[in-house]
Amino acid sequence: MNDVDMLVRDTLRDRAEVAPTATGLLTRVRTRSRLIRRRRRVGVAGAGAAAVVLAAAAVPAAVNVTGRGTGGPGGGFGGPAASGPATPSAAPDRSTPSGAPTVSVAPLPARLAAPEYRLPTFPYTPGSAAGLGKVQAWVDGEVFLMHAAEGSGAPSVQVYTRAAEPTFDQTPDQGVQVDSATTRVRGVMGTLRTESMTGFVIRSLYWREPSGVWIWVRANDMEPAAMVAYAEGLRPGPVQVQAPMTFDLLPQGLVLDNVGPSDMVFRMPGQPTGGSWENKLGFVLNADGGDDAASWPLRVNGQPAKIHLQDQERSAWVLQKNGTILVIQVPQALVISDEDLLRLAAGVHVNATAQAGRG
Amino acid sequence: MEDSFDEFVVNRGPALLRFAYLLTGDRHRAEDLVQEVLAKVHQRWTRIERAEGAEFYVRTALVRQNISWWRRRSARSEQPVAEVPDSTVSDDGEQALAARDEMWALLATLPRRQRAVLVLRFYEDLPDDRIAEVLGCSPVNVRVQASRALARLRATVTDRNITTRGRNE
Repeated sequence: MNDVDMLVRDTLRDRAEVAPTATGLLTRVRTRSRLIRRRRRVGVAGAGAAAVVLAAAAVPAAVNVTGRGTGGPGGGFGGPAASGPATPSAAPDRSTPSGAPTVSVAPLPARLAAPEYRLPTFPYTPGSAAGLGKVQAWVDGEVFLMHAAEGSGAPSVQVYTRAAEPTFDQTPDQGVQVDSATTRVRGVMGTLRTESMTGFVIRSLYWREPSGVWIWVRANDMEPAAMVAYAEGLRPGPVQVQAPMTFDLLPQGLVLDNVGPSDMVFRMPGQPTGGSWENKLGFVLNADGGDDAASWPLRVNGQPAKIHLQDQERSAWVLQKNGTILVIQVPQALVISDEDLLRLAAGVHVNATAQAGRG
Repeated sequence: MEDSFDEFVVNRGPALLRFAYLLTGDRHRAEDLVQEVLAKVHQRWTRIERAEGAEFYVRTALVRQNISWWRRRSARSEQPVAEVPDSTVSDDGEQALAARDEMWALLATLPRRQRAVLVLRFYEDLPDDRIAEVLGCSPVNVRVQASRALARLRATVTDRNITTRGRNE
């Protein structure tokens, strides 16, 4: 080992001593895991899809991990459409992949008032969904159908509509093989795109309906014939998005951006829509995180609560009567007092159909 | 599953943060990187835990994620050359400290892959074949990367007479 080698070694060892501490790391990891799961379930297109694939490629293949990133399309929902039925859109992907630079959002003083959003519907209903999870309409910047696998071993399937042909990242990540073929579906020629990685396969089947609308079915671990059969079963007819919670009050000016079985997220004016929750007002029902709730210093509707501040990120936590935790993630740009944050929390009503998330 | 993951994060989190800090050279990015990777690992913990060497797996993911982030964030292959602080110190202890500060700044000028090789070799004390596993390349490639990185550092430190001062501990 020469002088330079030794200096490199000594420098690294010295610097390791001043690395960040792990205080609160577990909590932050769990929160982030929850957000990633949400992003993954619903995915995003273009750069977002690449980010999901990247996530899979970024982990070593030695344990044959199934990255189950869904990477569906993004864009199309938001703005005025956020309060009405969604329509197909050719809007470019506006979602932000993990790790991408964040968007600067102007501070917005929170003025609490009765909410004005309206839940959208998805325009197609599945036929036979044997072997798949229960269908739900979710919102991830746009409305789509979701058959969640949720550890059941069933394929995870999403269905989107588009005004234009879906587009994909043209540069697959290392270790990802992409194949494309045509196939007949619903009386027209469609495209079946297969992304193969170590241990798992993601397929996209898309085609143009006679009405001009493009439909995109995306699935993990589902055979092509099963995908075509699923596509054949789709029928025009609305599927309503089910909100996991309702609100007495919300900050005015925010736009509904994400809805899943355990969460609702609102974005700030001018902020891009999509699957990322960064800088958005999020309401999340968590299955765990309340082990120390007895020591929480606040009360919301008589229930233990706390306001948590970490790394400039503020969140309100409220223990629910069934033991789940309502977490309100406050974006930095939303100027809201602790008092108003607790008023906001007091006006959140968790619906019976809500499913608390884990991790 | 949850308990073992929590235990892993609590027990190994500090070491992973140290590793990430050396990879990134930035405290915030290190935290971000560790959180991102552990959060992804959490989704698949059952499988990872079953395989041998969960920590090696996580460290590999940290290295690859760090390189991938970099690839996506910048078309450039490396960071701009950092401002290497001028040394105006007098006694030997301070000179040694200053030499390490300068080396730290120089490490920031390396491409991520080369920096990762040095961290794995000099901090983790991994042999080249193991480093190759982490990076997903051949041991020959590891040696090439290390050689280039050290040559680059050597060229700079020779100019600035850093190593001589660094040895004065």
